[in-house]
Amino acid sequence: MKLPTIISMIIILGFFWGGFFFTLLLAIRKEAKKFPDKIES
Amino acid sequence: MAPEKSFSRWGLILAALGMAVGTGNIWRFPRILAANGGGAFLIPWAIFLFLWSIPLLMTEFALGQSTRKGPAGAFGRLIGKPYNWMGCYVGVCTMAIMFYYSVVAGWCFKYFIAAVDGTLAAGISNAGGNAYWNGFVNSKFEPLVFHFLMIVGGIFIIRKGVVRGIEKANKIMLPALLILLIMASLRAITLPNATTGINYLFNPEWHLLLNHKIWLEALSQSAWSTGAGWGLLLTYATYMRRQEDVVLNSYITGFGNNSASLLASIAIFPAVFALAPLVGIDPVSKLAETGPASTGLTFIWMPQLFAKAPLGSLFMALFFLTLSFAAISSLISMLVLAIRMLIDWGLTREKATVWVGISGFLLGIPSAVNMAFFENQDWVWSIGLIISGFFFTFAVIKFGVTRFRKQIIGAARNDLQVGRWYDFLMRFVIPIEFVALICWWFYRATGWQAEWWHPFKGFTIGTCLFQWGLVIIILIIFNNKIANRTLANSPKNES
Repeated sequence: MKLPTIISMIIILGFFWGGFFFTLLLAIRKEAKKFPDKIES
Repeated sequence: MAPEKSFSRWGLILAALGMAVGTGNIWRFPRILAANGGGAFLIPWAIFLFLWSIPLLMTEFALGQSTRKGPAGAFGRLIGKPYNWMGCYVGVCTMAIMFYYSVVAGWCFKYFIAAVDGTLAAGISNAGGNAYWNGFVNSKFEPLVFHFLMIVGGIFIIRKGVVRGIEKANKIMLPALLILLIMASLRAITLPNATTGINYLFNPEWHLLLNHKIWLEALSQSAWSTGAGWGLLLTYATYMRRQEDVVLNSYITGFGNNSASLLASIAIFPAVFALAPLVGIDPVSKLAETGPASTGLTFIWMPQLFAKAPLGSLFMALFFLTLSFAAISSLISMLVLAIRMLIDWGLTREKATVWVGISGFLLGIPSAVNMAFFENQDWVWSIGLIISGFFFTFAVIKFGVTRFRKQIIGAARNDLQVGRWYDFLMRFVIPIEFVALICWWFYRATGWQAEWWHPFKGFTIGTCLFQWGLVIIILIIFNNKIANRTLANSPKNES
């Protein structure tokens, strides 16, 4: 695999997949703050 | 039927992802990417996620949540009765897509069944992918049966309540879709010569970014793939909790949709580049080939390529099962939109569900039995969606962009705040994108056919203007009647 491909792959996949998991994790954290009882139970 | 409840946060996210991730991610995205130079295309595609799709997703979420109306009533409630027809157009446009999308979902399911029982592999080795495909669609009866099964399946899932049904179905289908895509990707990248495909997919040729065509194709792909401006999220949002987040959920939907598109490409590009030389074809040209109704890669070449791969039958079945799940989860959102329109019209949920099932089947029949009709409808209404997107922008501008951001989006308990960038995008950027996209499309379409003005020919500007115009004129004529009825009705079974 070419070096530019590897670099671009890391940037593109990192941006979209990273963005997806980051926003999902953020939602989990925010939801836990909004409804602490629900998460604990 | 039990009374309707509201989506939980995770139920809503799954529903939004199920709506956005459809066949467009798996067959359209790789095709458009291949036709536009591979890696370079990813850059404008990423940019337009933020300059078109996410602001419109936010708008839809906020509009549905605040008005508690489907497309037919939401516009009237936001900007007044005289503009209610715009929302109706959005609804009609998406329903027109639903009628033939069910046929597409049926094709995917048929190919999955045929891959499992071995008739697909046998048919391809005997007659070739093209002959197998033509034999299937020209049989008329089979596409009709599978179209019927998809409508019945979709209605079966939501029969006990939109929220309940969608939450249950998506809890199974979306994780399964993700797992299947990962399995397909792993299989593809372990094929010999797969790295050529990965290089084409991710290695950008920077000079291509100077070509305006790539930017416009990226904009249209982002608009179609995320489902922004279809009215589907607006409909789901009517089942949201009043205080549910709007902003972060829009980001999750946008990122999730594009992540799925990339995963699908990682499954398809290496497979095509690895296997195309075995059958003596050029991978780039086959990836970019549209075929009738854009079926070239998916239904004609992919089965032929899989047939050459070790464990090809398994790979083939996995691929078409993935497509079927993606198609069904998107079809369900379209059925829900149609049901919501009828509920707003004053029907009970039970009656609306039955009517949508019957009309969905009957109005899909012409597309199921006649490819020319199917292609015409695909052409007219997929472009009609750009107008739908613009109507959302118009509604926000008419209401007041800053006012919409503060009073409507800001009314929710958002996890993230929306800044003034939203105002700038809705006021200037999205209208400019709309004009650029429509002008470019007109320019291209006039070159495709000498009789580009003809209203009764398959792929002309004339047929689009005729069908959009007919729908808009009818909706404007009956606007007062529709608006009075939809705005007066409060759904009896709303939570």
